[in-house]
This record gives sequence, structure tokens and C-alpha cells, in this order.
Amino acid sequence: MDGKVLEIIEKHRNDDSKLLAILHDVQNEFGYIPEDAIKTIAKELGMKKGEVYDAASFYSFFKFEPEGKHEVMICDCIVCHIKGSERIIERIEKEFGVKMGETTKDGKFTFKVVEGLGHCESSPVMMLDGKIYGDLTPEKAMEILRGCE
Amino acid sequence: MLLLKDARNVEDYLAQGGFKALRKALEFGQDEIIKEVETSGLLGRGGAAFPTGLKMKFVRKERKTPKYIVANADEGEPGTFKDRVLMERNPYQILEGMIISAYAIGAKKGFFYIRYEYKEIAKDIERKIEELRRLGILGPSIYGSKFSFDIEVVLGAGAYVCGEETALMESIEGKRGFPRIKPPYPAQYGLWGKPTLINNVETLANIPVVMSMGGANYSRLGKEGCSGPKLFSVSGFVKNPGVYEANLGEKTIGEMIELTGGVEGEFKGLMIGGGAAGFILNEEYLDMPLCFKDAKERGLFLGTGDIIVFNESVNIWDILLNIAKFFEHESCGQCFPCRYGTKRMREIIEKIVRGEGRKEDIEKLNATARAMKIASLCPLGASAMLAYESAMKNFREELMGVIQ
Repeated sequence: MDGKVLEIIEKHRNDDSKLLAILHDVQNEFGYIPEDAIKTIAKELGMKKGEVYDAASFYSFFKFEPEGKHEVMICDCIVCHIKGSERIIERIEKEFGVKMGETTKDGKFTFKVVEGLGHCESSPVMMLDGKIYGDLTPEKAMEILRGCE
Repeated sequence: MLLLKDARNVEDYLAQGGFKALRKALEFGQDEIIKEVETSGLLGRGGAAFPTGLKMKFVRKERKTPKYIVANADEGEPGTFKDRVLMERNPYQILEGMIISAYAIGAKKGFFYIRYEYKEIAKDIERKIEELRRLGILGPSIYGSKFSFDIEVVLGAGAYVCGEETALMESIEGKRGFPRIKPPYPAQYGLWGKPTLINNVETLANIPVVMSMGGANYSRLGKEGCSGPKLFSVSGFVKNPGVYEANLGEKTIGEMIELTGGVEGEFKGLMIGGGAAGFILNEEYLDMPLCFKDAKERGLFLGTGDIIVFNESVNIWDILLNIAKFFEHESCGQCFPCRYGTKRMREIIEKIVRGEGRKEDIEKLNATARAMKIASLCPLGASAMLAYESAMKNFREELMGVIQ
């Protein structure tokens, strides 16, 4: 693992804004930010391990434990809320037997509620592995999720 | 359209006269450019409506170097999506505005900060920056001039507070996105303590417009003292939600809703001012012109230029609970009034929504709102109660109707 992390750090060596970029790449590589990676980053950037973790843990999209294969973010901002996001959340929780923020037992999905995906023209929306799906109904959301490998 | 053009690739942008403003600017003196922007009356489009020319002048006169420029694309207000649509449809105009501004203030390095939710756009902007380097429009000696400038894209990681300019700078520096105490302002003490100009991406996209038509002509677009084109994010219960462009002061809120095809269902109310940090208004405001000045006269802000329309199905306490949860989650936790106040507001509103609200709860809410407004460190805490206060004024009967 160390080699890959060092490679990522090297890639950003000349950036002025390094830390967020490195953390993003590490997370893309491993699916989360492992503790060993934090150690390596700290050493290479001349920071304390606690300093790296302190900064990283501030941001809600950095993960420190492995999660499900697919990341599903359901928007519950004001606009999605008045357009029925709660019904979608209820349906998913019921069908998959999980609460928002949890991963399904088979490790396939991690569900999260977020507060603004910035696609209010097609509210209610969800983001599945970085892709936006809009004008959702509970049925349509379930259909999209069932279609996931 | 001056902003919402469709120029997704560089050939289209050049065919539509793209980068002419930059070439013109490079023949101008730096102070002349700033003078044009000042004359134009351009006000910042990210929410605060600060005069852009003045901000440029502050950075320009600083002696410290290096100087930096930051494009703020950390668009996080619920109901606001105009920056995203602008970046998708007309990204080069933002970059052109950024290059012109950098030249005017004497910056050699810029940062383009984009929220995590727009990571696909961030990749696209990165590709476009690389393309402009190849074309000699970014990098060393731009268009053969003595001016060199480059841009680094920074992807956020999910923190609403980073839209606040000093928090955003902390984030670029690789720290927690804690807002700084101001003053000093970014013009004196910005990124790594150096003079920094930070502008919203829509503001930057206006710079080539100013340079092309001249500040004086620009100032005549729209309304006196509140000039130029503005993007409006219209969402909620309207027939065709989307981003619409109009000169400031040209249309009223009601006319803008009509432009989107009208209300879906029966009109009940609306929000303006920037999503959660906005105002809940009733039909009395439909004839208010969409202009920073008209909003200010009524004690409101136009903010990012968003309009969320409510129909009869919307319950106002339910909206207030959604907003309270938003702020509780997004409070960065640095200062006590905001950290505790947002939690308390959520708890009290939750109790009211359960049907257990009493008069004392309203008094507690009012006291909490007051304390947060007076004592919060940054605009996040100070704006968390705007929706509640305005709703109490405009929907008092409905809100008090459930209080025992």
C-alpha cells in the first residue's frame, strides 16, 4: 500500500494545495482513507499524524472505514424535501432494512442523506457513484438501485 | 444572453468572440481595467453583493507578493445551482474573467475551488485548463505578453461552511475549513497570508462582459446602481425549474416565476436569499424587482439569486425543521453561539413539529436567534435564523396556530 500512497503524494508534490488532493486520490484508490496512509502522508508532508486526521475528519466526504460497493446519496435539501425526498428515504430504509448512514449487510450499498446536490431543477435527486438521477419517485429510485450490479 | 451562452468547447467559445476581452485587457494598464470594473457597478454574485472593482483595487494596492486569485465554486446553498449550470454551459468565460482579474491585480497563480458534489465538473475544468495551456492562453507569457498565470483546481470534500471565503482559504491550505476572524480581510491577508482576490464564478464570468462593452455601457444594463446580468436559480413548485438570466432590476419575482411557466398548484409562498440562509416570503413580495437594492430596502438580501416556490402542499414548520437540521449539521463547531444555537433551534422546532410547542418555546427560539445573530463568528451562524424570523413575520398565523 505504501508504494501507491507515495506515488500519489509524488503526483501532488508541486501543487500548492496538496492535502485535499492527496486525500481524494487515496480514497479513490482504496475506497477509504486507511490509517497507514495517514501515517505516510504525515511523514512525507512534514506534518503530525493528528494534524492530517484533524483536517481530514472535518470534511463529510472523507471516509476512514471501508464502505459499501456503491455509494448512494439522497438529497434532502429544502427543494428535494418539498418534492418528496422523505418518501424515497422511507422506501429505501424499508426495502433494504437499513437506516441512512448504514451499509447493507451484503456490502453492496452505503446510503447517505445529503443536504444539497445542486440539481434542484430535477428534484428530488440522488447521486449513485457520482452520477445524478433526478425527478425521482420511490418506485423509480428502487428500480435504479435494483439495476445495480 | 451574456452569461448563459452555450459554449461548452473552446472552438465554440472562440467563434462567439471568446478571449477577445482578454486580448483587449492585456493592452490596457492594470489600473485601467479596475477602473472599468468600478465604473460598471458590478456587484459580487456569490451572495454578499460587494463591489467587485473595489475589491480588486484593495488587492492591487497591496505591496506584499505573491498575490493570489481564487474562483469560488463551492456552491452549497439549497436551491442554488446557477454556478453549476454556468460551469457546464459557459466555462471558458469564467476562466477568461479569472485571467483578466489576475492580470489586473498582479497575481500569477489562481485556485479554482469546486465543491465535491460537482467533481465531474472539476475534472472537466481541469481538462479545459490544460487545453488553454496548450493554446498559450494560460501559462507563461499569455498571448505573447509579459503576463504569466496558471490555475490549480481544488476539489472540496463536503463542507458547506467552505463557501465562506476565509474558510475556503483554510481548506485550500489543507486545514479544517474554519472561518477566520475578519479583519484582516483576504485582500490583505488571504491564502498563506498573502493578498488574495476571491470571487464567485458568476462574478468572474461578468468580467469579460465588462471589458467587451466597457464599464459605462455595462452600468446601463438593468437598473441604476444595480447593474448587469444575473443568473437566477428557480426551483420548487414551478412548471419549468431551471436557471434563468435577467438584468438586475429588470424583472419582479412574480414575473420571473411566470417566465418559468408559472406555479405548479396553488401559490403559497417562496424563499429567496440563498437557500437555507434565506427568507420565507408571502405573496406581498411578488412585485419586488429582482435587484440587490430593492431587496435591501425591504430588509432582505437577494443572496445568490435563488427562488424556491412553495405551493399549498408545503408546511412552513416542516421547512423550518429542514433548515434547522441543515444548519446543525453544517455548523463547523468553532464558535459556541452557532454550535449550540443551531442544535437548540433544531430541538425546539422538532418539539413544535411533534405538536408539543408552547409559548415558552417561541420565546426560547427568539432568544436563541438573537444570540446567534449577535455573537456568531461568521455569516453561517448569523444567517441561520433568517428563515425563521421572516416566516414568523409572513406566516405568523400558520406558525402560531399549532402553539399551545
